[in-house]
Amino acid sequence: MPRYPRLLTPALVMLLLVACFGDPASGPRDVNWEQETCERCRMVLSDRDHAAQVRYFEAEQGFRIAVFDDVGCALLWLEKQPWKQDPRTEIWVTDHRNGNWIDARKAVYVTGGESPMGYGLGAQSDPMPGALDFVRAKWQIFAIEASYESHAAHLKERLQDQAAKRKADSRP
Amino acid sequence: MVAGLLFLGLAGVAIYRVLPLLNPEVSMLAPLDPDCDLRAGPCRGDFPDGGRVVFGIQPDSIPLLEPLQFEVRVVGLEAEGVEVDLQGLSMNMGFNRPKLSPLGQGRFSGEGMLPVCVRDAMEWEAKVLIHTDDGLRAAPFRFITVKDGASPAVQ
Repeated sequence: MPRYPRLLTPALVMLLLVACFGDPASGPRDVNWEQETCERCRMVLSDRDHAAQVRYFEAEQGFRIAVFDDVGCALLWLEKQPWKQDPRTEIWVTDHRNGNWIDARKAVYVTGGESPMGYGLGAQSDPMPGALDFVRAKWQIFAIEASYESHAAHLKERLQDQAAKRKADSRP
Repeated sequence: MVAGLLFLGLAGVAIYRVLPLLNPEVSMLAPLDPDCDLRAGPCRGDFPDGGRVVFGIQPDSIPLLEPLQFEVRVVGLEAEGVEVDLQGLSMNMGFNRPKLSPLGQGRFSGEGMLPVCVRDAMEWEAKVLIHTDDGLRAAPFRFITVKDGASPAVQ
């Protein structure tokens, strides 16, 4: 029996194992709930009904996945990435009714609920009257974020006013 | 079936035990002082029946992710225990309620830490919870924090 087939057999087995258990090039992955943290806000992922993940491609490292505690965090984070238009990028969200991972771009978003970071969107796979499509959901998230930033600017102004008052009070 | 009922029963008991911990029933609340500036020094809360609580934080720059020292002085009340419930006003930042140690003569002290948030600036409420024979009293004190680098001029 030639020698090379004996060497090839373990290599083939390894290849099959990698094919079976390696990270696929598409789809969501399992999340370690209560252990992993959101890529954007660093909060622990615990809400199974409002989580998100972005699968993206990096030239040197191949496909990578970032996980988020809220679809709002995912889309705001994605917006800042230079590769945001890469067609290989996938966005997955959990269906707010059952926690199943669904394609964020095909999902519809129910408004007015509670979500970990306050964007208030619940994704679901089935259409629903009044629900937002992906593009509208994205704009709603950006609008909410703008209001948060405006609130933060107002808080900074108040803090500066307090600092000015302290300075004035400390003068002899 | 029996296991399911047992699980529901245990879950009910757990909720019954945990809910009062998260939202304790307050018998008397001191009004919020809108002029309180904890960076300028301790603030005062006055209860309608005459009891008073004085609350301060050190260091007075109130940094995030660093140990903070909470000081409470209770006047005109017999305090059995004191806790400080720290909550983000615009964001749920989780359960954060350090218990203070008695130092005698109505003084209590303890350590805590504020987590960092994705927002540049955030308003917090430190609710001083005072356990007395007559029930739980609460005095709220508000302050603003800014993330490092977000606005160095105000810290």
